[in-house]
Amino acid sequence: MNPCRLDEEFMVRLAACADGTATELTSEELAFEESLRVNNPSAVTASFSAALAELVCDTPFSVDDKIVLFHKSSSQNLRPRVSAFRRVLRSNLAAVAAVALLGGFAALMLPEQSLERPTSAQSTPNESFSDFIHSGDQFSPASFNRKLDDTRDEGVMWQGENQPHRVLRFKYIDRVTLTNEKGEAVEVEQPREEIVIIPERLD
Amino acid sequence: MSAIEATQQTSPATSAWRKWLDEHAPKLFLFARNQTRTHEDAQDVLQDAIVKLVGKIREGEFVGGQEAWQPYLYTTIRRLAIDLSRKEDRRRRREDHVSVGIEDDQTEAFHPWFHSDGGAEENRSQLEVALKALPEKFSEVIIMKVWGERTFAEIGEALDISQNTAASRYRYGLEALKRELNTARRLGDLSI
Repeated sequence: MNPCRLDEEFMVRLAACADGTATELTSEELAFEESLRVNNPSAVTASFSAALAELVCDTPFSVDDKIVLFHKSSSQNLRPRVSAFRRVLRSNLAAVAAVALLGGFAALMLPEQSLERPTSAQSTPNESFSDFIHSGDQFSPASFNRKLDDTRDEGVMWQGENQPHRVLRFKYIDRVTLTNEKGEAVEVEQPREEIVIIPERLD
Repeated sequence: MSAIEATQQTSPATSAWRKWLDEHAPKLFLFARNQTRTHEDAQDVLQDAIVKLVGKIREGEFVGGQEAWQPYLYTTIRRLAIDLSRKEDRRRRREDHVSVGIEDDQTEAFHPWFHSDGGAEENRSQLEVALKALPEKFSEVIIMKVWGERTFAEIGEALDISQNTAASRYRYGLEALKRELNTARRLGDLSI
């Protein structure tokens, strides 16, 4: 008694496994595969799609092992932690900082030259306070100090043309001390944020 | 300035995730449909699989990049579907609710597996019927290969079989599917 012979089809299959060709499809099989692929899977319903999007809303999206897309920082995280006194001071004298920033530089670095009103949008002073500062016998900038308060990598942003850009956020605190002829001093703090966008290289 | 505004309005991760889900969720859902009994079960299974994936990503436990997400999800969907099926079997045995299967079939008619483009409606429904008629071990490989665009190695990994076995099942499955579709078409012709 001998074992039955294996059928030809199974023998071909075993041989294909042995010589590593089992995973190669014939042109006929590929053509049939393509004909099946014409039928697209049904889209998931809008409500289910929204539920899935909700699941991943706080999860970073890794483009590859070097680039990870982060979610937008919450406003809570970006808000500077300051005392009530400083908040009031900032809200009332926010315009002072812009003037003081430029005025301070001008006063300290170029004492002989007359001060010129800045033209850039970033530093546009409050008109009335500018007059107040430069009127002569009122407050004038005595010192200026800038401190790097926080840095944040916001991840990689994709704009057009498939060019990724890394977004970096720098937060500074500018501190200006103003004094008048009577020796009274006012210290003003102004938070400032810079967003730097750098082209990101892709390997 | 517009670039800055863009980053502040839409998080890059949110839009990237949305795009990824739009592209891959239908394929993964088709596989989940194949692995489960009902449309709702498939939704639960896919949702749980994505919960597991994002949990691992958030905790830094996920090994590999984005290219590893789909293989992980296919494997997880299958495992979750098996678990769900076992639970469901136990529940049905307890309740001895024989009409559930009929109700499931009626509900499924409202949730086709494939979307039709105009006159291809008949082909779509024939394909769905033919896939459902195949043994699951064939249909799952076909769905992963044709619509999931996975390699035999990835399919083998997800199903815990060798890539040669995956390829064999795929061939047998394609043959059986072709026969089913031909039979369906012949019957369709006869009925006209």
